[in-house]
Amino acid sequence: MTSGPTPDLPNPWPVILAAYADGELDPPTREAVERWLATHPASRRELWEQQQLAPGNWHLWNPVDPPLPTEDAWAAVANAIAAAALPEPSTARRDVQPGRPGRAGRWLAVAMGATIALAACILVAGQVFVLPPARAPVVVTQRDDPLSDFIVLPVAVDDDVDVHRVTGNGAGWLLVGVPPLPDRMVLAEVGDVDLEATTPATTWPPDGPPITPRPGDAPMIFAPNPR
Amino acid sequence: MPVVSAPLAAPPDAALLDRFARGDKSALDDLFRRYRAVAYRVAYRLLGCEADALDAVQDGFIKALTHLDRFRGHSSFKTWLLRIVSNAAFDLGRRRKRQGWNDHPEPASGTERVDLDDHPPPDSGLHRADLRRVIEAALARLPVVQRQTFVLHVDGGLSYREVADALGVSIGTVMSRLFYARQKLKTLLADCVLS
Repeated sequence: MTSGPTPDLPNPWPVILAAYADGELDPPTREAVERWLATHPASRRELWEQQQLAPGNWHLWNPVDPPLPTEDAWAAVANAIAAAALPEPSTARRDVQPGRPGRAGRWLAVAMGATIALAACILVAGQVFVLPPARAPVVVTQRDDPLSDFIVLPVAVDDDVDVHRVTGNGAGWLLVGVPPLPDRMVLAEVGDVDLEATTPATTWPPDGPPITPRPGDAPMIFAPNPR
Repeated sequence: MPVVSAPLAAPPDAALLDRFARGDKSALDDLFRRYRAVAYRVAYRLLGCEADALDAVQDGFIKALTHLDRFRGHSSFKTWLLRIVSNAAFDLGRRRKRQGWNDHPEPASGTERVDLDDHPPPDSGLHRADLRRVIEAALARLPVVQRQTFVLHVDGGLSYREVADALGVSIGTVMSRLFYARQKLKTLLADCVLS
């Protein structure tokens, strides 16, 4: 990305031509771009290329609209959504004043209170008479491990991970295996991560390969907290 | 005297969502009819297959509607829904790939253009389905973040601000992704679409 060719043009140039092609610029910025385009044919060619693939180019996008599903297909999807997501009207419309449970609610509250009290008694008794002292969290460190200065959230250890294959086509490597957890623990979703570039790891793993994102791969983030 | 009936104003999303939360199925039907087409367009463009796109639409609607407590209203329901649908499409694509499906085969290293061997020459006029297939193949070669941004803008009809809200990035990032996505598409499609 380069700076604007003149002080009149806002950065970033030429990326801003995409916003111009899409009509997303405010009037002063749009006029500044137009002043530049008036005297620079090469930039007009660049703009034309952006406009060709903009949503406003109906000649390109209209003919390639996806084939529409049938009404039966839509109905099947709608029914599946309703079955899975529609709240029960009877429970959703139940009017219960906050802090004023009904008769059943009161009995439930009494029962829950008794259960909690009993559990608390057992817990206290266990700590005084039976249970050993609580162990401090164990942090496993290795002398050669560059992460040894960090506390690591132990999501899984090596025995938990079943690596199926290591693929590589010259552009990078990607470990593929079975997730060790029974369900996903979502630390971040694809949309939460902006991976614009990849850089080969230089410190860990030693001589490690670069990680290249592939379509559909969720990002894996190592986020150690300094001690 | 002729009777002219004014068209009824469509209820806003917030009203439909409120009715849905109280178990009103007609509100769900209205929401689905309102956004099914755009959600399907986005999912189809990311997956390239009608059945998979419908699965992604279904997953996306269910996730969105069962997690309405996470919808803060900072963006429109459409923006929020399309983000979830596009993520559902990527999840589905990844699962399909693990199961051995591959609707969008990866290009060989160094390939810079869509392989046109199976497509008519540019001056013969591409059929609708051929043109769609060529564009889908080109889109499949974009990096994931560029493809998602491009599809949300072009097929989802979201503005830069809405795409930024949907993806949790800045408007500048949206602009940059669209610019470079189009540059790459321009190269990939130069022979058969752009002239």
